[in-house]
Amino acid sequence: MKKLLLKSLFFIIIWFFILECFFDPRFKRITNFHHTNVEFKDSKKAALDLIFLGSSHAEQSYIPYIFDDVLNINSHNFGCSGQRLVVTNAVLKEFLKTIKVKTVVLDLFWGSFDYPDSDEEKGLQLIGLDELNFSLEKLRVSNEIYDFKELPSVFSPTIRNHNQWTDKLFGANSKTTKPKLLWSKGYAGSHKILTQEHLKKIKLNNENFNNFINNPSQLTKGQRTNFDFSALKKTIEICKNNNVQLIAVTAPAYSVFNYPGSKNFYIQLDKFCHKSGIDYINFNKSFNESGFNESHFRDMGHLNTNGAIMATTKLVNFLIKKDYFYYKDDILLNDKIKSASSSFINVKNIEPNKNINTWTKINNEIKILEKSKHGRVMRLERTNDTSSSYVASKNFNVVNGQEYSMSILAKPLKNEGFLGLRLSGVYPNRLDAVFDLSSSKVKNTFSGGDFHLTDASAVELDDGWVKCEIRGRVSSELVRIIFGPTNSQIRPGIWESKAARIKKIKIIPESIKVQQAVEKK
Amino acid sequence: MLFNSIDFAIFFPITFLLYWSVSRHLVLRNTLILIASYFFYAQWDARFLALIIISSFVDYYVGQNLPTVSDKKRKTLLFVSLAINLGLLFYFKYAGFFVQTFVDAFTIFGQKLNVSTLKIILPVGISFYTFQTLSYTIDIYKGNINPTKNKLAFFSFVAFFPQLVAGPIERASNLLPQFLVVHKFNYKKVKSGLLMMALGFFKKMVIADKAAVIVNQVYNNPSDHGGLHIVFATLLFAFQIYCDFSGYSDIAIGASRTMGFRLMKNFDSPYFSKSITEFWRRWHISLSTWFKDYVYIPLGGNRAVPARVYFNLFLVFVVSGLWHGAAFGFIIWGALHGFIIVLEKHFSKARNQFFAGNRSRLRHIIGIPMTFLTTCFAWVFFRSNSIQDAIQIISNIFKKPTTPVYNSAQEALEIYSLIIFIALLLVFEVAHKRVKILRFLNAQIFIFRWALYFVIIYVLILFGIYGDNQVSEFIYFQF
Repeated sequence: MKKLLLKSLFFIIIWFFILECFFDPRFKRITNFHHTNVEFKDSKKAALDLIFLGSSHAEQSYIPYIFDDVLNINSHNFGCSGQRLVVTNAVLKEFLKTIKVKTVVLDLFWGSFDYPDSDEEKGLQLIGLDELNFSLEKLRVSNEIYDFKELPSVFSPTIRNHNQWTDKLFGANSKTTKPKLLWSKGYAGSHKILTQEHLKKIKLNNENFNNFINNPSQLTKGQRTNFDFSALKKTIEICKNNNVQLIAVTAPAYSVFNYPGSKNFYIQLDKFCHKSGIDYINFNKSFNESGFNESHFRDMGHLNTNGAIMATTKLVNFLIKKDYFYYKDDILLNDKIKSASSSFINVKNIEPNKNINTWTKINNEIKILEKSKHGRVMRLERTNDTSSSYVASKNFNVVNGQEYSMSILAKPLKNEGFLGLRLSGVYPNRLDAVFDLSSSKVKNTFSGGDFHLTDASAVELDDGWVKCEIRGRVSSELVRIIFGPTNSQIRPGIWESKAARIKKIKIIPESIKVQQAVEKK
Repeated sequence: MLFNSIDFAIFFPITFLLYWSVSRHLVLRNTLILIASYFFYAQWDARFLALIIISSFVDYYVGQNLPTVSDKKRKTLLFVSLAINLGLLFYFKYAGFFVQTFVDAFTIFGQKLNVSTLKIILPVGISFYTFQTLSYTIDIYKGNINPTKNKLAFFSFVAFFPQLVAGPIERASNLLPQFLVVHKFNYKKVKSGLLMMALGFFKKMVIADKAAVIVNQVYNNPSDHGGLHIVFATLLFAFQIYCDFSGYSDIAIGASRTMGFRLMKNFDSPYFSKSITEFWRRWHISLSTWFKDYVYIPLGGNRAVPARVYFNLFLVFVVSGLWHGAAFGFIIWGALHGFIIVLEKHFSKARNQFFAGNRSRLRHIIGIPMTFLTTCFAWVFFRSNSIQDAIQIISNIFKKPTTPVYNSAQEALEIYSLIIFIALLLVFEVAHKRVKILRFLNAQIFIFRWALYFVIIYVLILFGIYGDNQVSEFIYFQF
């Protein structure tokens, strides 16, 4: 029996070693939070002046590049999608064991205090837990959140994701993927703007919005007023024990105004922070005063890069005002922030030849129509339904491995119309999307060869034009733009193939925009 | 509790350690087995433990009294045991089916009967433990064994957790005495038991459950599939059911072996059989021998006129089909096997003459694929959700498929891996017939052996189907 037990123990240790060192790294989900941790570990810094913690609100609202440039400090954003405070505390606790931190900015919203109980929420907590080494704290938090039966999956990504073995061992996911378009020290930004649907929803919540903004300190009657802030209490305790300054913030978000009762939560949170002696800024309280509007959001809950610059600017001013950090430069603070911001959004415009008369037209007829505020409108019509049809630009230079976005304004000629859009390298390298112009929706997308599509969007402008955009990473030095009318039946990777009864569409060639996003380090 | 669940991964090592720590004290050991077995069963539904306890009580007391009473009373006692055990089995398994069939029959003749259909939960394993306890009583009645006076041992024998819910259906003469003796810890036996369990998990998690994805896709939508898809899905089902059931038996036999118990062999590479008669000597051996000993022989066996023998054979297989489930598909499946076995018996002399001498090799070349294809054809009725579906599936074999079996390169890779694993299993079975794998392994150096163990474990972890919403019950639980 002793022999069996000893051998079993030895066997389990080797098994665990193989799992931990060989399989788990392959089966781990590559997330932004993983990148931010890898990036930070690679920098080999032993101390940080400022870190940002919290959920995706933190991840997408505060730009360390600007803090560092303006305040001459070292900061990093450790915001993590869907992370609840119970996990944030574990991350912070483990983090402070190895790194000295001066100040923590903790982004809080109603959901931060929710206990992860749905499968989706539990899954999101794994993004943070996966980055923690095995420790008693990790064991304690995991045990608190997950059922006993779920623990093997929590601790081993191999066990959790084993049904994706085809992808993880042999597929494209086995290679390390790069983070989102605008990536800087943990900040994951986006240039997206709100859709018509979002805007409609915002209008619907106008009453809640006004109630929130106009009477920020008055509790809403008939709504819940008791909230459990024990998780925040624990954060305060961790920071106190490690001699770290803690600031609580709530990033601006339209989703806050979805519920009439949410104001009470923020009022109580404000009171709790005040009582606990920590500074708290709720950007939603001064939404209009701070200058936030619809153009600063990528969706109902998250800022786009313009919005993040705005939130960052406000926070920099607050940190200086409250003496957390000092501004020592000779230039005026506002000018310094402006210059840091513009250098951060380093989007390079690429100017392909937009003279469509010089483009290749395969079975497509172009007819010039009226002029619009966006430029000259052209009608695009397939002349043949028995072979492929498209319009293609000349090749233009791009940087291999970089991320590009390409957009064009289009409209259906009558009620219905679909646009196929492609950024194409040498076959089969391409990024494809098919847009339903009547409903302003992306119908389908496709990445071919080594090109990797990160996003496609269709946004309806106020005059009915639809801004059709694709984004993605190219693996080529020469690309060209291809587009044309198509229908919803053809697969997105071959939208130009032969098909009958394809509706005519309108486009504005001058609106074609190609941008390269330069990643900041 | 399922073998392929985290509950069992915790339950089994704990039971194993406790078992060996009390193994020298017979009462303690059997008490532990009984508690563990009841706990194991209660994880599914504690209410139905009552049925196992009733069955155990009835057969224990009938067994005790059988040798001491007059012939007339002996028959009454046997009848009591049969009536209670088969009564419970009939009520829980067949009542709903027969009521529904009765109602349907009247509907065909234009009479509508207002009888509410019975919706009765089928207690897991009832077909297995009922047959096991019945064999004990019948064997005492026949004078083949003596009744045990050790109540604890008998109750443990009925409820022994490794084989409680899906067999092998053990005979009291083999298993019961093992509860009456102390087992000594044997490292080699534990090791071979664990390897046997690993083989069972491989069959279940890597082959059966993976095959189920495609089989279900085709058999649950028979009108969408045709041609090669149906052939492929049916071939896969043949391996699914084999790996599912023999996998369970392997785990049961392996788990018992680690605790010093020896269970009977339940499968012996059945798809290498050269005839359906041989197939039934290799498939679900514990059930076929049960039917042979307790149904076929009492009906007259081989000692009657040929017509009667054929009738007996056919009847046994129809009953065997019904044992598998209360549905016409199972009855047709059993009848098909019975019919072919009757034909084989009738032409056995002619066949033996044909394959005699130089043609003996032909028996393998023709017999194995023919038998396999015949079993596959019969599986269509076994797996189809209804007779109508089975007919549609058979008629669709000659139609062109309209829906793809897989939609992406990833799904294709899953299918290729499944085919590779099935091929590996077949190679293993052929090799195991020639060289005992365990003996071969023991002759290898330590590093080779351990490397192989790690490969097995990681194949299970990476390619197995398990985890939330993925763990599937063993098919034979429903029988």
